[in-house]
Amino acid sequence: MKLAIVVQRYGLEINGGAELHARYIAERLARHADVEVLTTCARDYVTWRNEYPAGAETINGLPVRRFPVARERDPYEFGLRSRRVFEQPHSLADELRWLSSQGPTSPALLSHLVRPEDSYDYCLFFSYRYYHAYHGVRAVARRALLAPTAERDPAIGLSLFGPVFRGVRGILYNSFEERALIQHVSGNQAVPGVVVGVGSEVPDQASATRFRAQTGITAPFALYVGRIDPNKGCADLFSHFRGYAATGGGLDLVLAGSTRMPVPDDPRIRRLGFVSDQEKYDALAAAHLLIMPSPYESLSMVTLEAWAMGLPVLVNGACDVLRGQVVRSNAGLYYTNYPEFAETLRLLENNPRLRAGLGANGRRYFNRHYVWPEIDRKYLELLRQLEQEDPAAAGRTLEPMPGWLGRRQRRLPPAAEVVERAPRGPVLPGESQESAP
Amino acid sequence: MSELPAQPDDIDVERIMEQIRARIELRRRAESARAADEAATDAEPAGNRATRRRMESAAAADPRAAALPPSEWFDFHGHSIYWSSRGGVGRVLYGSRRLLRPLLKFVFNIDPMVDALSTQARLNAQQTAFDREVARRLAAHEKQDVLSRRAVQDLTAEMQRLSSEMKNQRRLVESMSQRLGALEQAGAGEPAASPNGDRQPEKPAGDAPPSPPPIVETPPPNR
Repeated sequence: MKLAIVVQRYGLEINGGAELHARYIAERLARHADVEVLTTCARDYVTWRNEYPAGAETINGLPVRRFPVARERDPYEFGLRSRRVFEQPHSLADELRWLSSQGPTSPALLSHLVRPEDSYDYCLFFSYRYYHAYHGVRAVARRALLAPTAERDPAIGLSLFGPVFRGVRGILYNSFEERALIQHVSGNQAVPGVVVGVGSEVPDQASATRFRAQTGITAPFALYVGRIDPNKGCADLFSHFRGYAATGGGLDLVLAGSTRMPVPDDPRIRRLGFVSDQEKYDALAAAHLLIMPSPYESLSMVTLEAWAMGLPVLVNGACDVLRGQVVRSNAGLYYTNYPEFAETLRLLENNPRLRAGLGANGRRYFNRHYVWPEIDRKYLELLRQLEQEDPAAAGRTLEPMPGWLGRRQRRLPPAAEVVERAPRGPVLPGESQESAP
Repeated sequence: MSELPAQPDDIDVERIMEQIRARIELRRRAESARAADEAATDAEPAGNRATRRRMESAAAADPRAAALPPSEWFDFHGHSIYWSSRGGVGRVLYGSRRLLRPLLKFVFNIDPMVDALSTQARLNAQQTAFDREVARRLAAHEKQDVLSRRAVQDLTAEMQRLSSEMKNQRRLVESMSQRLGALEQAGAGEPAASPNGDRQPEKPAGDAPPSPPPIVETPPPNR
């Protein structure tokens, strides 16, 4: 089986959620299929500037083919177009212009997908919201699989994505909450899909002692791993943590990740900067707990890694996915405001038995749903199912694009309103139709 | 949080969260009662200041304020009308349009329109800032209203308790005053003190009628 993994960026040094997810999946599926990665020359997801050379290369033994991005993103234009489609009644043409302004616009990549000599049995597209996924699915709908990595943000409410969600051969969801949201906005219940997520390789030799020796941090601490960015909930995290520390909280806060915002100058908040995988696992081994403050996540890989290492987590309850996962796994607590943050953090700080119990549940949850053999099984099962299915017989074809006039009729509702109407909250045990993450 | 489960299988996150919320609610009530007490004795107590600070921080995180568009979306300047989003072609278009501006002026005067749009952009930005402030204050007031409602409910309950207590006290005072009146009537015909200077023992309290005054033998006067 020849399989293309199509993703907006790719590289060992790119550790964004969807991109890392795509790399892990590509490397795993390469054990079962002939995998090629198709991506762009961009390294920066804000500008999409071409930084890698176009053409073929090999990364971790996998063939990777890069295509240039035709135009960089103009933030001013993107802001204007976002305002139009998210906040005002608009047309499909407006949404298409928004998609182009978001990028990464790579016509060369799309041309490659439809070349008969490079015909793939299946193309697995990552991140529904980008240019390559939308136009790529439209180009090869009968062979298209989609890992949407959708979050509850206004983009999911745009009308142009409905036919994509309804027209692909199969969807690999990250969580039940993501599936519920996509099914609500697109009505794609008929499309075969599986809630699968992504696995992780946790090293056996993670060492808390090594972490303490390298960093000099000996006090007990809560750990945050990820981009330090207001969009990741870090502003609230700092404000909540300083309140907790000022009222007698005994844990320090350690941050590991690149910085996109000012970090308060506080002796109780320690910043490690960007860390290697080994340093990350050492930090997880030394921490009392992991904090995940992001309000928008389709799947938090570091949360899964913390559970794999038996560490409890404290997550932002405003994120349906994270809250659903801690409730289903009984492996962490959540907060929705400052008093809950302080109270849960104090509780975890002062109750080693509770921490151990939550951590044990996390490890069990990880071993049941996120070990690689389980992830592989779900992917291969879906591929086998699709091999036996005739999409035409199943009545699923990609809806045609409306005509010139149809695309220009301003009858589409603001995307933010569409998302606002979608049901909120985690999918609780018993509500999900299968015993998966 | 004494009933925390010890075994992983016994852990129920939702139950723990309910306990945590209940504890927070208890503490919040205690704090609001303390703040109300302090407010009664101090014009600007620390408790109120702390409550107000909490409310303001909650208001700052209000989703209504977060939902408003950022001000930079309203950026508009004199050259915006010539701008194009088409990359390199767009830059050529932009240059051409600016170059042809004098020709455009033969057809109509673009400047008043640019001025009007600039003003509108400024007004939009101001309005957004104003809306954000209104959302912030609204959230603060909502928090204040909840606290005030609870304080009024607590005060009403306290007033009812005090009123009932006052009635009991009044009945007690009336009963005491009746008994005092009876004692005064009974004491009108007896000496205020015994011959040896001691006070007469008081009659036991009760509803029994006062007993008749004792017969006292007085010595004959010296002649």
